[in-house]
Amino acid sequence: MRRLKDAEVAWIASQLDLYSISDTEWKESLLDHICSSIEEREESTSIEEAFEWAKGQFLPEEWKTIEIKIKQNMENEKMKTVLRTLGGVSIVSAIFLVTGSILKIAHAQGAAAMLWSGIALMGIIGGPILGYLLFKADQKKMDWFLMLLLTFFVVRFSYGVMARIQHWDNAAWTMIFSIAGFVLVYLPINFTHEWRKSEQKFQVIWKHALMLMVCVMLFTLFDLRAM
Amino acid sequence: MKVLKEEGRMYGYELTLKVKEISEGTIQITEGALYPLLHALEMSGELTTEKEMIGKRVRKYYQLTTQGKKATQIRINELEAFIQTVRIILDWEKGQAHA
Repeated sequence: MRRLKDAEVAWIASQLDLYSISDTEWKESLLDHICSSIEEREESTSIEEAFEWAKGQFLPEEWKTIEIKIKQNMENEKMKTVLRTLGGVSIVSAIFLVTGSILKIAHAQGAAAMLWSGIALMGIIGGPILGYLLFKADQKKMDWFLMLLLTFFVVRFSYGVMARIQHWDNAAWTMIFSIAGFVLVYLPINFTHEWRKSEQKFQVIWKHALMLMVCVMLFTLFDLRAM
Repeated sequence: MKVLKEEGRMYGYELTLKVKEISEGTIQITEGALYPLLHALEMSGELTTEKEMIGKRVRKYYQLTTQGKKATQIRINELEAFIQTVRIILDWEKGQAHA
């Protein structure tokens, strides 16, 4: 059995650089794989010839594809962890919010602490995770803008609901302005954007009409004369 | 995974040689199939790795974890059940069905 010299191993490593393999782990595994296969041969040919033989055995055109596969595996595992964390945070946050709401309805102590803990947990941990997932989703600039706009109105409306529960001032106005902003700013932009890119125009009309109806229904819940 | 379960600790090339030897040359695992799979199993916690320097190069040894051993057994059982089912279908004859 042949034993490769350090200089020969270094030469094979330099040849692998020509295949633009950037992942160190994969490069190390491939180098050992090729060196092991060369050492397994009885023949004592030159290192150049032995490397050419090894290339013939191992389809070099696949090396970059394998690296991509390995990187995808890593990315998938990372994504699974992120989704698991988001799921856990969402469940704990939902438990806090539901318990807080029940305590609030029963006028029991600790309702505010529970509700704020739920919101804080979702905002501090869940928010950045959602942002990361959106970033990874490779969205276009307009989709990003619409997503941010929607988040702004939803957060503002949620704050209004929270303020209403806590009997703070201006809760109703906060909610009204959020609904108005959603209807007057978000809906027209989103409608135009979706109308341009979607082939199913009827669905776009129906979806936006439905959102508009919900907003009108919410708006009718406010007694403007009493404010 | 079955080979790793039996042999304990192995490196990539050694694994391909062992599979080739056991299958009498019928199964030849390419590096394109082997390394992404080993990496995925490592990421999912079914394999642990150890690195050793062999002269100027690094050799990565793979070993099944406890979780990996359990997963291997489950997969072997599933495969055996599948093979048994296929065997039943292949052995089936129309005459037997009528009898």
